[in-house]
Amino acid sequence: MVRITTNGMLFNYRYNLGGVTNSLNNSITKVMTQRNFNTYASDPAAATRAFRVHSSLNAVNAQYSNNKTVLSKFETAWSTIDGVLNDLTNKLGSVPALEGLDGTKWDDLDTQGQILRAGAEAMVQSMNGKYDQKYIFAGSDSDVPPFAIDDAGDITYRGVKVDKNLDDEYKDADGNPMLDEDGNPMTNAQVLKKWAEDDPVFVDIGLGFELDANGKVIESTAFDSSISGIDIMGYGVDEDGDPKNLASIMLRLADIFESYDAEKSDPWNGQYEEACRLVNKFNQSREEMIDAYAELDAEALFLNKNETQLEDTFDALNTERSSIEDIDPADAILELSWAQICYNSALQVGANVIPQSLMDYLQ
Amino acid sequence: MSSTFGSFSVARLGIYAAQKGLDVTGNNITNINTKGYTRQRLDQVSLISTASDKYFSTYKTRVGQGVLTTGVSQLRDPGMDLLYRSAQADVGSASAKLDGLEQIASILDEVGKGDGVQDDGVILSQMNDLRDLINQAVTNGIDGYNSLIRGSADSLCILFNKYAGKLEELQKSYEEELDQSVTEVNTILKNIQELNVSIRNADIRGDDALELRDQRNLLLDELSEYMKIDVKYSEEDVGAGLMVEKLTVTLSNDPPHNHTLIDGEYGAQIGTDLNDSGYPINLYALRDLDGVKKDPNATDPVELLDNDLYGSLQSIRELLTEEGEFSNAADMANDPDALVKRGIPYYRQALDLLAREFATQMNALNNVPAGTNIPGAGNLFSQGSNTDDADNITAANISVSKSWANDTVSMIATKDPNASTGDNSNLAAFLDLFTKKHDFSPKDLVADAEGATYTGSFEDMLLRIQSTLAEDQMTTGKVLNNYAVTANEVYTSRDSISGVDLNDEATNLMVYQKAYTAACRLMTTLNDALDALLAM
Repeated sequence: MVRITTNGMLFNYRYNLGGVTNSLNNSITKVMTQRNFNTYASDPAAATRAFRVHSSLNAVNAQYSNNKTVLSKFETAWSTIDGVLNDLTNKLGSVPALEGLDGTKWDDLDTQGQILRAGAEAMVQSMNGKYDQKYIFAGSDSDVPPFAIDDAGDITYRGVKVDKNLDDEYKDADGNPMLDEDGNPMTNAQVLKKWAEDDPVFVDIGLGFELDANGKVIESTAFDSSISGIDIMGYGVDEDGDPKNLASIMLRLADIFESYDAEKSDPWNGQYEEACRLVNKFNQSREEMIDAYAELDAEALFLNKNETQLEDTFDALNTERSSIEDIDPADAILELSWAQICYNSALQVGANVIPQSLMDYLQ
Repeated sequence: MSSTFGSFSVARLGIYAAQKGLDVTGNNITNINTKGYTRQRLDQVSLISTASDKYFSTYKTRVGQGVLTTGVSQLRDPGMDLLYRSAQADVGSASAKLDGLEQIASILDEVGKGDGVQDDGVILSQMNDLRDLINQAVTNGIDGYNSLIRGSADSLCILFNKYAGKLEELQKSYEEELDQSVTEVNTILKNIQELNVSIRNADIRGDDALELRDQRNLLLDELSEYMKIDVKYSEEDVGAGLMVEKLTVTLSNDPPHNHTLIDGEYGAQIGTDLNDSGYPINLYALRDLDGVKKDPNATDPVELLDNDLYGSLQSIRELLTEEGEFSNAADMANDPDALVKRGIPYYRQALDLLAREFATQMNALNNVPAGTNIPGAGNLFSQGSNTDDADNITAANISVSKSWANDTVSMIATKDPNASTGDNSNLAAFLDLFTKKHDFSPKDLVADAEGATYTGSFEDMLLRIQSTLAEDQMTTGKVLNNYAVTANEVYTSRDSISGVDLNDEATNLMVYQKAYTAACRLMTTLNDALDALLAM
């Protein structure tokens, strides 16, 4: 193009000035909002990634709060059992049991029996402890107190006697049986076993939380926050027919002690051997309870580690978010300075260079 | 041999020509800012009194008799006009499309929006909130969380309603814009037609009608932004061998239909039907200024097909009609690219599909087979706050169901009536809904849709809607930029031929002024010479 008209020059100037002004505006917006991009269209890939990171950040927050809740529950459970093991089983369990067997103190057996009974009741009450409106040791049935001593003096867990009528068919509160996978009704023993071993309440603490095709939570992706009271205290009977549940043993011992009648020909009613055996079983059961209690400790430790892990994940995500969304202040201000220089130069051109023409020089 | 006073007429002609030249230059200078003005030039020819005689003497010297101004002509290149109008159609098309996309983005784009602390979007943030509340309910049980979850769900529904409402308003405002554009096009066509008649009359009279031609060119430029046109100049015989120029304007994009918009003194009008969901543009038959049809047998009106128009009018139409993945077979027969063209209807329907799938999945988890006794089971979301009916939920009507609002229904923790009280298996399923992938099939919303199914989570679908829009915006912006640069170049080229340049005109001023002075000087010289003769 050989000939540029005055208007042609001004037209192009106007168009380019618009471009420079736009550039200046963008730089100013960046510095003011502290964001790398202010619309989805300016950087679609970064915007999509940023939103996903935000979503993960929110999820991690929720998981952290869940972790805290579950950790507190486990810590409460741990200290309850600590109390049971150290105080109750000792002062109200081992001591009176051993004293009762001590031949020199057989006149005092009634008292020992009462202490044992009181101890068992206290233990049941402890195991009915709550954390935040929910019963800790009730497994998945957390709205109902798990343990009770029924009218016959037997310990029950969720309505089922823990060591009597084990082969009877299980009937729930409405009289319905529980069916196993093959559709057959389960016995009390099977139900108790299920409640001790397979009664999960899964929570999401950041392990992935996924459901399988059947709608069941995949175990490795969630944390089972349910604690089964009978798993800790023991349930059922052993080969000798003796109860395994700690409180049950104490109640049985109490019955035997209270039935001791010095005036009879056989004061022990033939139950002396049983009493000795039960005392041994008591110690055994107590050992098993300590094992279960150590397991709880291990879970609490895991939760602690998970909490740290979640904090690290949060930090990492936040750093990523920042690198995508936030400007580097130095870069942004440099960009702004440059845009301002370009703008000022463009204005100079407009003011000084363009308006001249031959007309200005004609006399 | 020239006459005694013949030379005076030469001088007079010289003065006259110089004066005319100054007039033309003055006209150019004062019209420098007139839009569409083409610079004019004075045409001069040298005057010869006789051609040749039968008895030519070699002793006779013949000299020209001065200068004649034969007229004023415009310097304009019709080829540049063609290029410019073609570029304008591109710019008009891309510019209208980008405007529309930006309007949609002002509704749907969530970048930089949030609660101020975290810019994590609006609907996206609300979905995260709902998900996190459900997560906490999984850990702590549904009691105490049901009303919080319901509150969050209510906010989510309101957001859906708001977005859907705004998109509907946008659709209406674009309908008005289409109507407006059609009216403007019709005004332009009418004006061109009237100018054609005036120019024709001027041509017959022998008047150059330069300014009228400038106005007509300006109108043609404006028209070319709305639709791509072909402009042809032909000669028309008005009788007695007199040929005048005739302008014909046809739509350029549609062989072999040859839709004519203007043909000399006959012009067409266009119209649109806002009640038809395809917003068709109809072309009426050619009529003269009195309304009489040029061809009484012509079809009136003719409906223009999708590919007949190209320009801002078509872009507005596409914004109003393109459904992307929700197009059916008939749409695809009209336009094979229908599946990848997305306008307001696509975004409305995509949002509807998301709302419907969300509500369907949530309701499915909260309903139990008939006869199962789970207190609180029932629909969580419905199509209105006064009903529990969950059929045909869209983004515009999704709402927390009436039963959930008045606590007859609540989020159920388990679907097993014999489950223990702390069983949260159904809540776990609710939580999983937000991470698991769902099938968003266009057929769920529009029975005969041809688009592919998208598989992703709710958040994925939301991000997909936004990112599709963003990428479209980005691409259109770049395309518009290219077209604009091209159009600017063509404009500047055209202006270099037909525009007024002050430097040029200043030079012309000097030239004509000098010529005037010289002619006057000739006059005084001749006067002196004659004086010398008469003084003898």
